Amino acid sequence: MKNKKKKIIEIIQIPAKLLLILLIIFYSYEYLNKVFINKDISRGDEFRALPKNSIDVLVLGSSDAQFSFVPNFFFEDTGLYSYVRGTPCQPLEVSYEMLKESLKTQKPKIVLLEVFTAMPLRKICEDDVCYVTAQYQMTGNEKYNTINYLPKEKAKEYRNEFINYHNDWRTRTDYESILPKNVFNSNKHIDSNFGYVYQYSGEEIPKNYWLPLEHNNDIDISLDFLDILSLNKIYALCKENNIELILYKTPLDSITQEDQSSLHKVWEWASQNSIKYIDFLSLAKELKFYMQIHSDSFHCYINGASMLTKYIADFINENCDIEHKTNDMLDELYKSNVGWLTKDVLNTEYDPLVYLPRLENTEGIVCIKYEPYKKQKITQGLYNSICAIGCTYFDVNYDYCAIVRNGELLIEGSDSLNSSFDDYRIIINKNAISINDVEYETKGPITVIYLPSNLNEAVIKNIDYIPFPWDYEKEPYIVK
Amino acid sequence: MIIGSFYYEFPDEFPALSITSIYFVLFCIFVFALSRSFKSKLRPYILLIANCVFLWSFAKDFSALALVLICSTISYILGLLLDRIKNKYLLFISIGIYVVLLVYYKFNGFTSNDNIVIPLGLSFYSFKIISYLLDIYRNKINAEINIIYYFDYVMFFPCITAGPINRSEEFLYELKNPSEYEYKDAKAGGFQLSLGIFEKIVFCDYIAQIVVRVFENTELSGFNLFLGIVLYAFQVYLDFDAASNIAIGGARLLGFHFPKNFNSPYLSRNLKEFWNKWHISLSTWFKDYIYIPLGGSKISNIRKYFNLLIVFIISGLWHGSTLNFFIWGFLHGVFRIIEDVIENRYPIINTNNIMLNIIRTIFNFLLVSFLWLPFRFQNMNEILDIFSRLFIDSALDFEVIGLTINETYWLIIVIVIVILTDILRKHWDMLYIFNKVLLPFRWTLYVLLIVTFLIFGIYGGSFEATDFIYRFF
Repeated sequence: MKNKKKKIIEIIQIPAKLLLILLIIFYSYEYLNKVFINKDISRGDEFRALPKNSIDVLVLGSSDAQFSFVPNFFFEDTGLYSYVRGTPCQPLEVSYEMLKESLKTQKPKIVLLEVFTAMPLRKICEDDVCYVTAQYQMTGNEKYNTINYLPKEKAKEYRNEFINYHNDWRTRTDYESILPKNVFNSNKHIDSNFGYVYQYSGEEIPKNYWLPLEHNNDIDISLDFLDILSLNKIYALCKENNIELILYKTPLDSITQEDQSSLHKVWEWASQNSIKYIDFLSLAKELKFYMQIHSDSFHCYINGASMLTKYIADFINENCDIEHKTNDMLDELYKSNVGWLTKDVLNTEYDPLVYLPRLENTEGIVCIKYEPYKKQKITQGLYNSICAIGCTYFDVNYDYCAIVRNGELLIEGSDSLNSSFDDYRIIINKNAISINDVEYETKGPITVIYLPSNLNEAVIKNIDYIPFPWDYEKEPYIVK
Repeated sequence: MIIGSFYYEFPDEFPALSITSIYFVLFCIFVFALSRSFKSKLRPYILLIANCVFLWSFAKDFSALALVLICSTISYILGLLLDRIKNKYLLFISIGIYVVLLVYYKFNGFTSNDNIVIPLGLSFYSFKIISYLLDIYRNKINAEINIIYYFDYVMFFPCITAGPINRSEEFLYELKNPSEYEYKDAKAGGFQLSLGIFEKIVFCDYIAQIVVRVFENTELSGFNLFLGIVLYAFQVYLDFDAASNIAIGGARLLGFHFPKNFNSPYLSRNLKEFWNKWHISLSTWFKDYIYIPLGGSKISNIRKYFNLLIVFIISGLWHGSTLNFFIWGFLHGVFRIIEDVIENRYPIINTNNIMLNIIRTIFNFLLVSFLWLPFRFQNMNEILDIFSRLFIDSALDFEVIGLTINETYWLIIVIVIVILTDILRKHWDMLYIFNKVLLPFRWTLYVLLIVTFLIFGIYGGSFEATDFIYRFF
C-alpha cells in the first residue's frame, strides 16, 4: 500500500516538475525579454500612459501623418485631444491593427486616416518598418498580426524578440538595465508632442517650390485588393465603435499620375461610403502650400504641419460635433509645447512673403539689410512685406538697413548703422551684421536676422532666392 | 500560439527530429509517457513505431524507411542462420554485405544527398549489425528470435544518428525484462538529456562560431591561430560528448542503461589512455572486433604496432572516405606507436609524479588538438598553410578574432567550466552526487542552467544548431 502511494506520488512528480520547469522557462523568458528589449521608452507605452478614453481624435497613417499633424496646435484650435499613431510607411492593414490596438485603451470619436500607403509610391518603403511599428507600438495579437504582414521569412525572424536579441549580451555595456528596478518600472511618461514628429528644415533651404501634379483622368489604376479590404475593415471597426472616419492625404512631391489615380480611387471609395476626406494635394494651391515640404520631398516642416493642422481643425469644427471631456493634466500638457512650436513655425518658414509679415506682430528684435546689387530683382510682394514691418524709407534701388523692436521701427539707415540699446550692440555694415560682436554674413539681396529673446536663438535668413509661387509670377518686378 | 511575449508557430509539416531540436525532447517525453502508459509487453511495439517515425521524420520518405527495414530484416535472417550454421563463409558474406553497404555510401552516398535516411547514422547502424553477427558467430550471444526486439535494437532512435554503439546483449535483456517504472531513472535520463542539449547549444555551438571565425580568416597567425586549434579540440569534444549525453539520457528515460561514452578524455596522459576514454563504445568496438582478432597485444611488437596502425587507419576511414581522415587515423597510429616505444623504453615516465602528469596531460592534449586538424580540413594544403602561419609571431588578440570583451569573458568562463566539470567527472559520478544535493541547491542550479541557456544559447532568427559532427560518420 505504501509502495503504491509512493509510486503515485512519483508519477505525479514528473508532470509537476515539468510544469515547474516550464514556468521557470516562461518567467525567465518574460524577464529577460524586458531586460533585452525595453531599453528605450516605447511609443506604445507613451500612448498607453494617457488617461483612459481621453482622446477625441486619433490620427493613423504613414510618416506623412506623423509629420503633418500637430496635436498641440489642434488643441489650440478645437479644444480637442488628439494623438498621432502614425508609423513610417504604415500599410493600411497595419493601420487597422493600430486602430484595434488603440481601442484597447481609448475611445476616439474621430479617426483621421492618412492614406499614403494606398499609392504605388509605397514601394519605396522597407519591409522592416512593420517590425518597428510592432516593436514600439503594439501589444498582444495586434503585435503579431503586424509582424505577419512582413514576408514570411522576415516575419519568422521578428516574431520572438528575445530570441532575436538575446545575443545582445555580446556587445552590451548597460548592465544597470538588468537590475529589476529598471525592468519592472512601468513607464507612465506621456509624450508632450502626442505622437507628432517634429521636422526642422535643417540646412536645406527650399529654393524650389513645389507644384501639385494635376490628375490625369486617362490613367486608371485600381486599388490593391488588400488596401480595399483594409479600408473596409477600418471603416467597419469605426462604425462598430461609433467613430467617424476621415481620410486625408498630405501634399507631397515625387508623385506620379499612377499615384494620383490610386488616390482618386481612395476618394471614390470614400464618397461611395459617405466618408469625409481631405485631399491636400488638390488644396495646396488654395492653401499656398508650396515651400513647406522638406528636401526629402515627402514630409512637412513644422510650418507645413501647422498649416495642415489648422485646416483639419477648421474642417472638424465645421463638420463634426464632438462631446469633449476636459482633463486638467492633459490641458496643461497640450498647451506646454505650443509656445516653442509656434516660434519654430516662424523660424522654419522659408517663404519670405509669409515670414516677413509675421515678424510685424512678433516680439523680439529684427535686423534687416537690403543690398540691391547682390541680386537683380525682388518682387512687389517682397517689397510690400518689408514695408509692412515698418521700414519707412525703404527703396528698392538703394542700400537699406533697419532695426525693428517688438514690431516697431527702432532705427533705419542706408548702407550701415550702429546702435546700442538694452543689452545689445548692433552694427550693420556692408556684407555683415554684428550683434554683440557675433558676426553674421549677409548674402542678400535681403538678409533678416530675428532675435526672439536672446542671442543664442538668433535666426538668420538670407533671402537670396526669389519666391516664384504661381500667384506671384504675375506680379511685375520692381527692380530690373 | 502566443504565451506572454513568446510566440510559437507550429511547423507546417512533421518536423525532423534532429537531436538538438526541441522536437526531439518532446518526442522522447511522448514515447516515454506512451511506453509507461501501456503494459510492458507493448513497449517493444511502441518503441519500434517510435524508431520508424524518427527515421521517417528526416527525409519524410517511406521508401528510405523501407530500405532500413529491409536491411535490418536481412541481418535478422543472417543472424538466425549464423546461430544455427556457424559457417565462416556465411559470416564473411553477412559481414561483407554491411561492409559493402558502408563503403558504398561512404564513397558515393554522402556527396549526393545528406537527407536520405540510410546515410543518417549509417556507420553506427552497420557497426551494430556487424558486432551482432560476430557475437553470434563467436557464441557470445544467441540470435534474437523476435524480429520486433531485433528491430528495436538496430534502429534504436536515440543512438542511431551519433552513437553510442550499444551491444545487443544488454539492450535486449532490458527490453525483454523491463524494469519496474523507476522515477530516479526518468529523472536522471531527463536531466542528462537536457544537459546534453545545454552542452551543445550553449558551449559547443558558441565555440564553433569562434572556430569558424579563426579558420576562415586567412590572415590570422601565431597565437590567434593556436587558440583556434585548441578551441576546435574543445568543440569536437563538446560536440561528441553532448551527442552521447543526449542519446544516453534519452535511452535512460526509456528504461535503457548505457555506460559512459566519454570519460574526461582530455585529461589523459597519453594517447592510449585517451582512446580508452574517447567515444568508449566505438573504441571498444574497434578493439573487440578488429584489434583483438588481428592478434591484439599478445604477439610480437612489430606485429602489434602494425595492427595498431591498421586499426587506426580503419578508424580514420570509418569517419570519412577522404584522404584527410586516412591521415588523421594514420598519424594517431604513428604517434600511438611512438608513445608505446618510448614508454616501454623509459617506464619511469609512468610514475605518479603530479607535475610530470600535468605536463604529460597538457602535451597529450596539444598533440590531440593538432591531430584534429585533418579532421576539419579536407585539403592538406589548408593544414600546411595553418602550420606555416602558426609560427609567424603575433600576440593573442581577441579583437582580431572578432570577439568583444563580453564574448572573451564568456569564452574563458566556458573553457573553465568544461575543464572543471571534466576534472570532477573524472573522479566522481556527478549525476549521482547532484541527486544527493539538497533540493534548494538543485533547483537553483536548474534555474541557473535555464537562464544561461536562454541568454547564452546559440539559437534564434535563422540560426539552427549545427549538426553533430558524428551525424555525418
